[in-house]
Amino acid sequence: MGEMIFEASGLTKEFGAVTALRDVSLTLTGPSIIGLIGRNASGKTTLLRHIVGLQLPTRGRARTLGVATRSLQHEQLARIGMVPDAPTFIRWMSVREQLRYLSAFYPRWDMERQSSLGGLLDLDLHADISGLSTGSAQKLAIVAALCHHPDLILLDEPVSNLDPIARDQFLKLLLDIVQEDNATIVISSHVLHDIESTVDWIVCMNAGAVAADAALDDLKDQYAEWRVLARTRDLPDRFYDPFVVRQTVMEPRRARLVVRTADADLLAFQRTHDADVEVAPLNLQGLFPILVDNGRH
Amino acid sequence: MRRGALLNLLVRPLTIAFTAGVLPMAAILLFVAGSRRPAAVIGVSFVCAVLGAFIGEGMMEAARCSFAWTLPRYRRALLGEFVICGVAVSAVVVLIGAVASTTPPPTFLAAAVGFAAFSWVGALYLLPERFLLFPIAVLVLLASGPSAPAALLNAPLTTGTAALAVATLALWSAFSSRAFRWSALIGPRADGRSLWNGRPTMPWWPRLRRLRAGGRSQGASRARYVGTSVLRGVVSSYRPIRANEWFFALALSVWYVVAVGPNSLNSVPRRTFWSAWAIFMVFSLMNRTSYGSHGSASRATLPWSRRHHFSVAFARNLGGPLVILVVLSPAITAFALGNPELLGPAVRGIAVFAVFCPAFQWAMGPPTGGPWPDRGMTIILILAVSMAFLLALRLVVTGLPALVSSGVAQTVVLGLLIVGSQVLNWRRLKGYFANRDLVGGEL
Repeated sequence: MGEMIFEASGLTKEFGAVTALRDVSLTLTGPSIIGLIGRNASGKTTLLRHIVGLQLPTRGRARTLGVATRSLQHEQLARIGMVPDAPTFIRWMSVREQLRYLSAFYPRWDMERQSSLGGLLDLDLHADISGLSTGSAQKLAIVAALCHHPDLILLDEPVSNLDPIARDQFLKLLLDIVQEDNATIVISSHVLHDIESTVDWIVCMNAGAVAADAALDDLKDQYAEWRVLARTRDLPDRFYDPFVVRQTVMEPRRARLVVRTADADLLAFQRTHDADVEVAPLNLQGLFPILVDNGRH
Repeated sequence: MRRGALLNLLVRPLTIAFTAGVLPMAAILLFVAGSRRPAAVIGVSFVCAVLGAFIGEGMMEAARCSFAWTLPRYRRALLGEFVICGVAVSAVVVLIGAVASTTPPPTFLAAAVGFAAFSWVGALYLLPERFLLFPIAVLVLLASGPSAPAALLNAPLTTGTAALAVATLALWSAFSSRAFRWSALIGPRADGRSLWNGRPTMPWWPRLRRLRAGGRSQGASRARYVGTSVLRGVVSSYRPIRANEWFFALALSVWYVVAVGPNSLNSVPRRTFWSAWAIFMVFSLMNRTSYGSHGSASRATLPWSRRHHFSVAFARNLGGPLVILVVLSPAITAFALGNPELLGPAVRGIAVFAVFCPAFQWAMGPPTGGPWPDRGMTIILILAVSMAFLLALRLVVTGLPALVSSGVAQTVVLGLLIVGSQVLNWRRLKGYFANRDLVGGEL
């Protein structure tokens, strides 16, 4: 059992009539890389802001690094690195000046890591911040969040504006950081294909509630994709087998089904429908609608 | 070692230029005010407040950056350095006052009041309630009357202690976690993520219609406002009207009606009225008549031709001042009823305001929206235009009748000036929209 990084119990956040977080109870332990996924406006950013104490719960409890998020002190903040969804910096500074400005507040700021990250992400240290593109500002936010060897790294859509090369390098870098610093990373992203190879735990949000909170491998074990090919007769218009969670392709002789593996009886299915079935693992992209649907139900 | 949270923001050419401009002005101001003690105290407070505002704006920019909340010990470091700056600024200004004034005020009193002014105005920039507190402060200042400084000067210890208590309260509120949470969430001003942008995104009448129809007001489509007519364009460009500015304009208008309009000049000093009038006009021009204080990127996505953008901008620039006059009309009416002999000067003042509208609009930012990229140059431009406006106000209000006695001739002269400024504005706007990028702006 690793260190308790974040713990929420009955966490609810309301903005007037809008409920951004709905009775969220969650425990994140580290070191690990946690993928925070969900549809737009499902509460991901609000949850990240609660973890760092930027927003306070309307109801419920939230503790980060063992301290109530309302009372986070500099000792805890020094252990956190955050890349927000829209990073902003002091516009008149250059990238180098901004990093120097930030480094003065972190006792563990690593200049070597700053140089290597800057090089890896192809960040121009001499550029003026006012002239940075959205992607470059995101790169700067990444460098600023990682150079003080944080124990908890919160990344809100960090790859959304990165080019494919930078994105690939950044995701590899996360694995190195977990190994080097024993850090816990919470990464929120819609680019599921990219984070799938990186994360080991998934928290899926839907309409402000936690729809799934499990190890990625466990989730993948729970579901599988069946590629069904009819042998002699047409397939039915719809499969009513209780373990069929989702039907993605429906043609007279061919179908793609997502099934719950615990209940699925492959042989019985093949016999009943007189069909060949190829079993394939489900990727995160395929899992996502099911997780969201579970949350909805 | 945590250092330079504020000092690293200040060590730049803009600060040096600003300080180099303000301190000689302070010396002149305090020298002029030197023969009267209350004026010297007000002068010290004013100079400290100007420097506090300058530093406060710098802090606000930093506090609204995304890193500000998670940076350990940042609030404490900013607070510590802000206090050191306040002490240094008030000490220097008091020293200048002591050298420049013939009868300098008591040192403790001047330093305490100067520090309080510096802290209060600087802290305002970090407070969520500043749009409410600032007008209240202006009103309190104007309502306190000319005898207040002398009365305060008679009890220096009490006044100084009270000033320090006010400063402590302001600092405690401004550097609280509540204020910094708000700053971090609101984001920088120029990127259009301010809380006020989360307010109604379209004029209230269609919003009401939608609400009645059962729809939600937020995030409604703008497409219906994007038509071919300039009027519809102007309506859509008013989309991000900021509630606080309306509130301030209305509050001031009501204040004029209640406090100034019905009274005779025997009870309201002439100087108080004119200074309040000028402050309000400058504030209104700076806040309400720019084409849009938010980012222009969204505007550029509107399916408008450059010519249409130009027409909308020109109509909007004309409409803005008219809105101000409509808001002010109850005050003007009340003023005219209470002081018929001052109607002429008031009309001339409004004419000067109309002549200077385009200059203020250009100084505030590019016609495409958002601020000019060079903030230092913007400040200098605004100051220059404001000074020219105040000078012209004085010249026209008191000097024009001496040159041209006939009322008709005065009207013709002022009318020609207004038309001339609008023609110049029209030509310059047309050139701008024909040749410049529609996104952002450059000086």
